[in-house]
Parts: sequence; structure tokens; C-alpha cells
Amino acid sequence: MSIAGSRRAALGLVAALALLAGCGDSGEPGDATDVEGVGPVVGGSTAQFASCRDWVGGTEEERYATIEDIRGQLTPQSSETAVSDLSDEAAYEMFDHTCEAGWAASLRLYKLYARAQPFAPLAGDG
Amino acid sequence: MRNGHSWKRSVLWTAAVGITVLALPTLAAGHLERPSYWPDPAPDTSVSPPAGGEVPTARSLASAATGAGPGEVLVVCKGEDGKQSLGLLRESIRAAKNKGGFKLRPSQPKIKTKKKTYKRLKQINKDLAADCAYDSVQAAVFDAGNNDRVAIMPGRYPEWDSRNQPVNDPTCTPDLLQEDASGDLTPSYEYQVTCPNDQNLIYVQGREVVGEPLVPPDTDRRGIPEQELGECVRCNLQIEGTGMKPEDVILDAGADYAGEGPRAEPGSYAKHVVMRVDRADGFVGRNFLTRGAAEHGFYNEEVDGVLLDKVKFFWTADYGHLSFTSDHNLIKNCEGFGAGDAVIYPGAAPETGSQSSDFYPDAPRDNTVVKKCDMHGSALGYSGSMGNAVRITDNHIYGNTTGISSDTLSSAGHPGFPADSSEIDHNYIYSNNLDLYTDNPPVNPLVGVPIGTGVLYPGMNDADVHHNWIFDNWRDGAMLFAVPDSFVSGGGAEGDIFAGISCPSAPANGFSTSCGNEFHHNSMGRMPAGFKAPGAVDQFGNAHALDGGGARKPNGTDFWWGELFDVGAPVNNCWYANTGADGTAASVTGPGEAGRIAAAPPQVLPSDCATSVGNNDGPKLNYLVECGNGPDEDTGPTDCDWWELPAQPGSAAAAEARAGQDEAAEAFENSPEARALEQRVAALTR
Repeated sequence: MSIAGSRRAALGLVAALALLAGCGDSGEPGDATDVEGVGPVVGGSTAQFASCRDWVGGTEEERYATIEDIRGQLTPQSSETAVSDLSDEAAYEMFDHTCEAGWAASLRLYKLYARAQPFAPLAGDG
Repeated sequence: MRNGHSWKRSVLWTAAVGITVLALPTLAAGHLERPSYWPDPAPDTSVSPPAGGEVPTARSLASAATGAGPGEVLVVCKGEDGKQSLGLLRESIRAAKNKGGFKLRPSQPKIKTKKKTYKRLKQINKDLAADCAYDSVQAAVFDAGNNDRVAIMPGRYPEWDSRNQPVNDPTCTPDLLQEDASGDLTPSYEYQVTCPNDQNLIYVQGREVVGEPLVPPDTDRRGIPEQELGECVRCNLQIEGTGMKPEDVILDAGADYAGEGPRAEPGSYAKHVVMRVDRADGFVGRNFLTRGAAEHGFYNEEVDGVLLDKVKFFWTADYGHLSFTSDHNLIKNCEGFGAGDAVIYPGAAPETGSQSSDFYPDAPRDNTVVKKCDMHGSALGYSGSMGNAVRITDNHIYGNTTGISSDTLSSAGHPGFPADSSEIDHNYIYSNNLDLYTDNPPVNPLVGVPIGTGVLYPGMNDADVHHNWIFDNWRDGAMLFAVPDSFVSGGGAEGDIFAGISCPSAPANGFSTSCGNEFHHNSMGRMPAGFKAPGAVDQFGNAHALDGGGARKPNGTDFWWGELFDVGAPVNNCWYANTGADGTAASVTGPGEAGRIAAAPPQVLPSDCATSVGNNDGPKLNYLVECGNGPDEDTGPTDCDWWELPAQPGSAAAAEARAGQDEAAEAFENSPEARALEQRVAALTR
């Protein structure tokens, strides 16, 4: 099976356009940095399992890598772009805020992101 | 601020409502999976008998012992010649005899079995033991083919060989990861087949691998693409425990248990999924317990024809049961608890409801039925993103944070936008007040859902909620909101949108959810006569008011409707023929002026389905926005209160909270914050 990496060049252009438009970054997992996201990598992604507990223990770079990964996974699979109304910076703040509470440790980041992403336009923090 | 007041209608607020609903917390946030397709609903006649096309019929255990076909019987057991399994069976029977039977579900009376039945069961197991050739379920499944049966004798099956297989096996990672259109990776079907125990304790491959997946995936998800649809290799497979009850056969992916017995809590997980059934049409699973997984207990994907009968799901970090893009699906006589998301989750269910097409010539029909199950002690009893045409009937759903949630929020990866045709009927939905948002929670929640809620529909059309008993849910009996299309999963629908959406002018106007929902003939806030609550309602310290005090067991509010949105035409949501805590229609509690039609007298909720319209309600919008910003620890009068256990309905504390909310709602209407919110909406909708 052919697979990972076959569309990267085209996606790079899409990503650049998205950035110019001021949206939530590009959407090509792993292209911005070699740093992996927080939490265990499964099936080429940390999005499935990354939790608030992992977030709290991650470095800034790892956290941004996590956001990029989740953003891509939460874009419809038939969409050629992985942009979001929720900027990566806003997502970072949201995770920081939510994960601050001790009882939030087990919350999965991608599930939080799925909630915050649509909220971004109204919150004005996108 | 949760009850809201009437507010001036405006286009801006219509849009605001839409945006707000998006802001709802995770609710049923689905899961991440490869691009997935609904299987052809017609039977596959390449095997005999044909596979799929209907819910399969289970073959009797007795016929396994006789060897009557079709197919071979592969027996799995514990101990030499199955002696350990036979001993465990004797113990189970002895315990049942001593206790006057056993309970299949906590809410149900004990099942009393005749001596003759015990004797027969022992004999069947003795006969099977003579043919036992496996001590691993996975080994037997590997050797099974179409129409075969795997009979698992009593015992705990940790499946050591599977556990020893690496996660992210380099045989499969990254070469067999599959890209979606934007380049994101997920394990492909070939990945699962090639590395079956990378993620799964027990993997059931249903069809051959014949080709590569489509990249990008086809937007029409009706039918698995021909290029990757192989022949049946394990269709019409039946896997069943041969014990007296499901707990006699434990398929176990947990480790480091605290305590003993089937209900013991694992301290860690060895695998992501206990049993995964992939493209295996006509599958029957019966009479076993799945326990302890980093994701799900039982998981079926792209399957036409699944029967799960007398199956239990204990202690799974995510979902106890997960079915995905599967048809002719029946889950019955089940129990689950300890799920960080939901006990039962049929997601991305086929479009066999309002949006059916000629791909489903017998539609409209249910594609999935969940019946006679106890779903308790979890963040959610039931959830399902794009849970189209799923019927939930005759269940007990109690002691969860939220009882039921079915949504359109998580569209990414979930074909079937928007969700429609959910039917919830003849259930007992009560005391869903489990607070998991505390330090050291008894179940680690993966999601944020409102504590104290019976039913939650964030984006659903044409639901039919009827003849249920919904009581003692301290926040709301049933909640309904709209979810505007453009804000769903950062880009809208996954795959094609089919005709038949009930909302006026949808999908062109971008408002495709929360239309045509009917709530009727439900008994709200009242416990049925003679009702005996299961002991499990107390599990994990769940708060309830079921002990004493008569039949009156009010919900915080019986029906909470977002009143979203005003599209200039009826949205046809209606509530009628329900009764409240006093047993009368007049005692139903709802959101005040909701649904008021211009020049019509105020009513609690609109009862005329044909004329029901949305009222845009600013305070409710603000409330939902706040909830979208959580979970957090803010506790001000305008902050979301979903993360705290509401006061017991009828108490002075509840009355005080309600008064505070009403006051806050009124204050908000004239506040600078309201204007600011309105301006943000205006800027977004230019």
C-alpha cells in the first residue's frame, strides 16, 4: 500500500494559504516539526490517546505538535485541508485552562478540541 | 442562567444560537478511525447460508455439542481436557443454586434455572471439553472460517500471545497506515489484518484483503469500495461462552486488578480493544464478558449483520461497546459499567431513516436496536455521533453522568450527517447524577457531559422519544439543541449529505439539525408503581432520591429545549401527552415561554408539531457559550454549572439555584455582555 507522505507537496501549499487567511494553521501532521505530540503514539498519531495528564507533562513544542495532530484528525477525512477556526494558540490556551483542574486529568484532548473548535468563532479567540 | 427568558428575535441571534450550540462540550465526541463505509445491506450470497441482510440468528449451544452444521465448532477451554473450565462451571452453578438463581442484569429479577437445565448444561460442556483444542480464543478465531463457531468454556482468557504482540508493530507501521484527504494517518483494514493483535486482544477478520483503500476516500460512503472488498473468510461466525452466565467467560485485556471477581477494576490495560470484528457479516457474539481495554470492549466496523446477546462490557477506558458503520445490528440483554465515555455507542449508523435512498430499498427502518440492557456507572450510558435510525428500547439507564447522548457535533470521520430518526422508547432513564468531575473519580471520564441529565440531543432530527419513564435526573430529563452545519467538526459533513433533512431550507441555509423531534407519552419525574431500583444505582456514590418518599421523583427540569433557531418556518419540535411529577400534564416542567408562537398564549413547550417554531433566547445562548468554554472551575452566576452535581430537585437549595439563574438571565438580557456577544455574532455573520 502506498501511503504516508504522498500528498505532502500539495498540502504544503494549502497550508500556506490557510496561514495567510489567518486560520488555524496548516494541517500536515509532522511537517512543521519532528517533535511528537504528548501521549502515546498509536497508528501514527497521538491524537487518540493524548489526555490532560499528558498535556500537563508536555513541553511547549510537544503541545503544539499535539494540537497540529488533533487538528488534522478532526478535519473531515474527505477534506483536503486541515484548517480550523480555532487557532493553535487558542487551542493551547484552552487546553491549559481546562487541564489546570486536577479532576480533568483523564479528559481526552481530541474530545475537548472537538468542542472548542466550533466555539472559536463566537469566542473571538480563533 | 440556564432557564432563559424570551428575547427579541433577530437574524443575528439566529446565527448566534447556531454558533453557540457548537460550543457545547464534548458530549458524544465519537472516536478516530479509518475512512469507513456502510456495507451493502443486501445479503452476501457468495457464502451459504448468505451472510448479512438481516440480524443473524444465533445457533443453539446444544447444537455446538452435536456438531450439527453448518460449519465447524472450535472449542476453547481452560486446563487439561477442559477440567479447569468444567470446575468453574460447577462453581457457577453451585453459586446460582445457593443464591436462588443469578441476575443477568442488575435491574432485573434473578433468573431461576431448573435442575434439568443445569444438568444439561454440564453435559454439553463435558461433550465440548472432549473436543477442546485451544486455550486461546484468538488462536481458534485464526483457524475459523465461514459459518464456523468458537465455543469458549468458562474461564478468564488473558490471551498472552496477543498481549505480547507489539503496539505500532513495525511490520505495519508506517507502511500500512492509511491517509485521508488531508494526509492524516489511521491504521487501514490491511493494517488490522496484518497485525491483528497490535491493537486488539482478539481480532476477527471478516473478509480478504484485496486492494488498497481509496485515497482520498469516496465521499459516497454507501458500500465498501469494490477495489478493497474481499471475499468472506469469516462471515456467519458465532463466538459464544458456554457458561451459565456471561461472567463465566471473561475476555480480558486488563491488568493489575484491584480485587477479584468479574467486576474488579483493572489498574492498567494490555490492549486497546478486547474484541474487534471487522467486515465479518453475520456475526453472533453471545454469553461472555469483555473487560479492561484502553479503548473499547467490543468493537465492530463495516459489518452487515451483528447479534450481541448476553454480552457484558466492564471497565473500558473509552466505550464498552462500539459499533461503527454497521447495519442489521442488534445488542440485547447486555450490561455495562465503568466506561470513560459510553457503555454503548453505535456511531455513524447507516442512513436508513429520514435520509434513506434506494441503497436501502426497505427503508425507512431501524438499522440498530439496543434493547433490554443495563447501562450504568459511566460518563454516558449510551452515546452515538450520527446515530441514525437507532432504536433504544426497554433498557434501564441509570447512575451515569448523562444517560443518553446522540449528536451531530462530531462529524469528522462519521458519515451520515446530520443525525436523524433516533427512537427512544419504553426505557427507564433515572438517577443519572454521577459526578466524575472530582479528584480521584471512580471512573476516569474522557468527556465532559452535564451531570444530572437523562437524554441529550445536540443536533438530532426526527427523533421519537416516547413512553419512557424519565425521573430523578437532577438537571434535566431531556435536552434538545440545534447544531448549525458550518461549525461542525471544522468543516461540516463527512461525506455526502443525502436528501430528506427535515429542517426548512436545509442544508442550503446551513441549519440542518433540531427539527421534527417529538417527545410524547413520557412519564416525567415520577417513579413507576412497584419500581425497585437496582443496587447498582448506588455504584460509585451516585446521588439519587429513590429511597422512600413515594412516586414523585422530579427531574431538575423535565424538558430543556434550546429554542434554537428561528428560520422563519416551523421546525416541528413538539412535546405532547407527557405527564409530570404529579402524574398530570400540568406538572410537566419546561423552559417557560419556549416555542411561543406570535400572538399565541404562552405555553411550557410547543405541543403542535406542525406549527412549532424556535424562539431565539439570548440567556440560553450565553449559558451554552459558557458551557462550551468548560469544563472549568468557575462558579459565578453566569457560568456553566454542568460540572457540578445540581441540588436535589424540590430542595431549598434547588429553588435558590433556580432563582439565581432566573435573576442572572434577566440581568444578562440588558447587560453590556449581551451586546458584546451580539456584536461578535454580527461580525461573524456579515
